[in-house]
Amino acid sequence: MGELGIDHESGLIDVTQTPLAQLATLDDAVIEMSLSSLLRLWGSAGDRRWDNG
Amino acid sequence: MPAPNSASVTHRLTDAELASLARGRFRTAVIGRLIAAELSKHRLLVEAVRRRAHRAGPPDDLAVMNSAVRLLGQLEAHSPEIVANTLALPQVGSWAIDCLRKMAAGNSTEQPDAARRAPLRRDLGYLAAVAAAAALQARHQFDLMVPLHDGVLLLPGLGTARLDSREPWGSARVRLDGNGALASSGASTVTLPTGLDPTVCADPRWFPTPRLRARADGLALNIALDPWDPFVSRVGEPVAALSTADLVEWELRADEAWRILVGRHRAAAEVLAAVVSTVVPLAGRTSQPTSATSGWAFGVIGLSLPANEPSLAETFVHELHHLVLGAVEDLVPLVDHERDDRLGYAPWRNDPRPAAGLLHGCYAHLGITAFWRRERHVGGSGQRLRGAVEFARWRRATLDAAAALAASSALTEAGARFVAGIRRELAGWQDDNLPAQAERLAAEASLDHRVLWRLACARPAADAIDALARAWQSSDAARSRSKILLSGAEPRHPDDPVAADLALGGAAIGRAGIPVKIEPPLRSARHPPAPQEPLIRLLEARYRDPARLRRLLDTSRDAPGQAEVLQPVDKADAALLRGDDATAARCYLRRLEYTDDAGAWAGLAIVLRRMGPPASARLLRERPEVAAAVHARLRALPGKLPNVLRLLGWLADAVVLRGDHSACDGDSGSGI
Repeated sequence: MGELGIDHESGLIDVTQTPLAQLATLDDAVIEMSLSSLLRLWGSAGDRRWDNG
Repeated sequence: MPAPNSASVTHRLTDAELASLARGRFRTAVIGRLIAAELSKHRLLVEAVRRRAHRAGPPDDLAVMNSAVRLLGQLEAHSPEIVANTLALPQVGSWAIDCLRKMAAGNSTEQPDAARRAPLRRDLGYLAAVAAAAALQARHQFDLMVPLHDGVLLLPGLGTARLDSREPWGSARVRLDGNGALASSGASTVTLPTGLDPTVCADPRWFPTPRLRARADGLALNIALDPWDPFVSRVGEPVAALSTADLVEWELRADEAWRILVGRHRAAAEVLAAVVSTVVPLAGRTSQPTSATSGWAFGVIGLSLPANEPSLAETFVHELHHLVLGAVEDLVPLVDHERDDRLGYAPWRNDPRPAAGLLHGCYAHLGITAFWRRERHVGGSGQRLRGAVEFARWRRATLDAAAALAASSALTEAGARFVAGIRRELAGWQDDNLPAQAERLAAEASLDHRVLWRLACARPAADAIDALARAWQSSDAARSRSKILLSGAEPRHPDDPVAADLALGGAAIGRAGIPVKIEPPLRSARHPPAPQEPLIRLLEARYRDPARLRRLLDTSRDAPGQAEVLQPVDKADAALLRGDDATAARCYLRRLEYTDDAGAWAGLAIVLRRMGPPASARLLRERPEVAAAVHARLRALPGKLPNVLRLLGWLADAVVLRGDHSACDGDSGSGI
């Protein structure tokens, strides 16, 4: 089997080593691409709060 | 260093890594990648907030954001670890989501929101507090305006300073220069700590965030105990205050819980140390502890202090699984929320749950089951019994819930694989030998929960109930009596053989094959949670706190020194717990003569499980809502009250149970 994980186009990009100042230079599309799946996915799922299982 | 672009590397998980995580097997390298992914998420969220504030917010708000981001950028040049640790704090993720939601909703920047939380302007300014906290740790000179709430300056992860401002939403000038680190508002000034240890500060108006510290076998636990930060404390209802005595109690219990985890659950302990940065102490009684996490606040656990150390260790493992699964879901969608429109039974909750909630519950209880699988071999007889009962209960209940979840169309392909991994791990534990007593205590606790849940949440079709009621009224069974009301059996031990005098005399009339359609709960519908009946707490106290159970059974008065009032135990429940099944049955049946009493049905289900008849016991386990609905219908009709035991025997023959008929395959007991 190949790798799972979300598609490259909608995946969370690795910016752990990217200076904050450079994040400000990213295209909006890159930010949207990285976060939109998360925000869309969980927009209808409230606060993702799990209490007592 | 080049800026990332559309061809940049993404955080990913391989199939093998996902399969390993699904089975609850934590590997340091994989967990490290999840932690890194959460840091990327936080950094991108901060940037997303800054951009949306730039588009939507007033210039003043943008200036605050830009100053904070600029300061964090300067710090990164020489203290990257401090900046990374600060941005990785759970409150940063929670804060960013809050801001994005408020901006998307077009909230006013000046007014508190509907929940009376801070106005958006104050939320945006929280990033200045984050930057100031990092700069103080790095001893980097700065000068920022930071929000105050009721005169309190909160520096995330470090502590709070109390200034004299009387404004509900004021601000303070916070700076570090040649004169030291100071926060000032109006006429008051507070000295702040610098460096990595926020306790090194003599100003009496500075209150460092307390930390839980423990060390065992070379592994350290060091996490903040923070009920004050608004972006983490919303995981539950935090305690109003933490006294010195409270802190000592937390430290003592955490110390021993840490020894348990490091000694026998080393992998979980290592992940806990790496992932969890903050605990929010929640209000709650020790006999009914509560705990919670949020997928937007990676690294924080909210929990009330449990009654003992094994329970605290168990809660850590439980909530750690929620956090890990939340990080996995940020990379690999496991549930399609557009299709998550059905609710199902979760053996650990009183309300019906969507697939996303069931998945989290199953994963958390996989961790709990693994925890007790080892703990059942440790300690004295009482501790070992508890471990065995917890293991017996959750290995079965979690496997059943995961099996129901596997049939959900809301799971993605990856989600289906993940659930299969959970089931595979649990299936491997089903044949572990356990004492019969442990199996019985576990089965009875599970049965009570299941019956109450179905009575509250499962809805049998009204026409089928009417048909059954009419059929009963026309039957011979309705006109004869059960022996139960004549029984004078002495109290007996619950493990004794089935008592024959509860069995119905004569056969129920044959009317086999009436299917009763049970509609699975719709997510959009309102479902009141199953009531909190005291019996489940008593059943659980048999193995979790037998001393408390003895007190409850011996007295109905307040116990001196107890934090809570001991409620008197119902007569039927007390008889059930003492093994006097005949008395328990009589009392439950008496209660059912007067009311539609869910607790009485649940207690009767346990009596029938012990004493039979097996067919009636099975009916009450599988379809208590049908029995209760037919009984209620008959009580509302003119004529004699139905004899409950006879009615159950008749229904057991008349109703198609799970697995008997395809017409019932879609019921809420097997679907979600």
